Amino acid sequence: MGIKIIKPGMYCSLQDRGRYGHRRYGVPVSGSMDQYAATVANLLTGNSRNEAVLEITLHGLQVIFTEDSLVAFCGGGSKPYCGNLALGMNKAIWIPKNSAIDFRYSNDGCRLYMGIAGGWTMTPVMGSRSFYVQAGAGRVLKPNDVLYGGLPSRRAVKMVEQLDTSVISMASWGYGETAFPKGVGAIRVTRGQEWPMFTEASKENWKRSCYLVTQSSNRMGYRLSGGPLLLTQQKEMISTAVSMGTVQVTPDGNPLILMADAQTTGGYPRIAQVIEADFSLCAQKRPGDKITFSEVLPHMAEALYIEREEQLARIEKTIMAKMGV
Amino acid sequence: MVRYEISRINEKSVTLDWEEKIDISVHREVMFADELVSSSPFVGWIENVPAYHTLTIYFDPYIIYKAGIADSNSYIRQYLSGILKQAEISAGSQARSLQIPVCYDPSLGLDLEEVADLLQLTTADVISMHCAEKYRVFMLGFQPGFPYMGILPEKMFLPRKAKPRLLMPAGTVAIVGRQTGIYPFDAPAGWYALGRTPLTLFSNGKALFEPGDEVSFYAVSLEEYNKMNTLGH
Repeated sequence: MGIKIIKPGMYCSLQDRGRYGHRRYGVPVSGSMDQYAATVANLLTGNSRNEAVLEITLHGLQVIFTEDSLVAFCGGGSKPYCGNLALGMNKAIWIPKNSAIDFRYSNDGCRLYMGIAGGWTMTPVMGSRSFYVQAGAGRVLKPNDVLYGGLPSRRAVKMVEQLDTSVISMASWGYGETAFPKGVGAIRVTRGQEWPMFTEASKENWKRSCYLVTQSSNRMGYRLSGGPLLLTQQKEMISTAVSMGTVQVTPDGNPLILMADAQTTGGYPRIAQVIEADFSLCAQKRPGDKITFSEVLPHMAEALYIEREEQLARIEKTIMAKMGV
Repeated sequence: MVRYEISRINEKSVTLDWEEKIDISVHREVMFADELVSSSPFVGWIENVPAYHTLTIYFDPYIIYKAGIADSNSYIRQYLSGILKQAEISAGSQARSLQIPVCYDPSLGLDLEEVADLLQLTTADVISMHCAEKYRVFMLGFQPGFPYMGILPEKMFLPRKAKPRLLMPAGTVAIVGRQTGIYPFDAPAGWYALGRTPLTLFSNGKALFEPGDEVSFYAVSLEEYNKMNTLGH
């Protein structure tokens, strides 16, 4: 199983659930921005949840399959095609050797995940297959780079037996839902450590105004613009640990949401923290999108996170049961 | 332990906060707590990130939940107060001591002359003051392996540059406020470059520095720097 990159598109990288245990040395966690979609892409190809998936940002990627492969696409931001054939989302798909697949414009979401039976191979760096180029994990993908899938599981092999392997063929069943939460709902946050230091007008702005995801938004962070956020008095802060979802306010008064590749420490005031359960929603926002925030209490955030994990465990069970073995 | 506060930062982290200052005795407590937690971790613990006056502890509340513990907050608070209660800072692990070569040649110390002007010192004074101190690594952050060190003498205090340099070359030794640091990788930066070290700060998943290290600098000539650099030290 494998692909050759023809055009790398906007940005793509291998990601897994992240790199832990190295934040004290300044190494970011990385990992799939939308863990929900990445997990479903893995499960549908018969993998465990921690295999590497290909994270594809927006459209423009073109690949050729160098070998017969069983893959699945989840998430958003682009639509995979083979010629005129639109490939289905959220289901296993058999793709014969030499098929050319291109990822076309979609007006929905930002990141698409391609899981492959056996997982994408890469020697783990600091215990993870997530690209983080600065720390020597992976590299920016170029034309002619080849990526390989690993050894398919028994579940994947059994799945393939049910498919017509002479052509592109999609499994008769899929996960059935959009693997990312669509819609206009606000992103839920808890209060940040420096919330009390902001002016009342700023707090109102934060709660009520609409923020634009600017062009300078990527895997490190989303720079937003909207109602200005100001401190009651300027304060030089001493840096401390920050993590994905931390919303810092930069000196120009704009919020910056830290994402998966963000640095591990920061010294800007933290107005809010995006809740874990809404990371996927956040990961599927693209430059030009507008977002609003709504506050939840910390115990609610934790309950929602546990519910999300339970949901993923249920999805895992359901998919495994459907695959048999 | 001297007074600290525990705050839940988000679902997956708590921070222990000591008095908000850059201070070696505060940081000793941070590192001591770091060691205590990592040597007998609680259910769901992932990793710690020590900083100047904080210790952030990451964990997975889903694992705590699956272990049948209903309230992660009180579970973690109880664990922390238990483990930190009688703890007297005494031994702890001995800080490592590192001597770091720095070439202060103006071709590498891009802001050395400006710093001397701003501080109304000679460049030789700046170099000898920078080399005279023993620094402590308070935290690593910003880039893999970037050490935030202090405490720089008050006489060397400079605020952050109004206009950051777009590219600070890897190995640059720089100062700002009461801090000194070294850039492991090329980066834009608002600090003042005094010189450059030929050492590699991060490679093969390993950082040269650790929080708690004691560091001093010694000056090397451009010739020595080049030699060490080509040897790949």
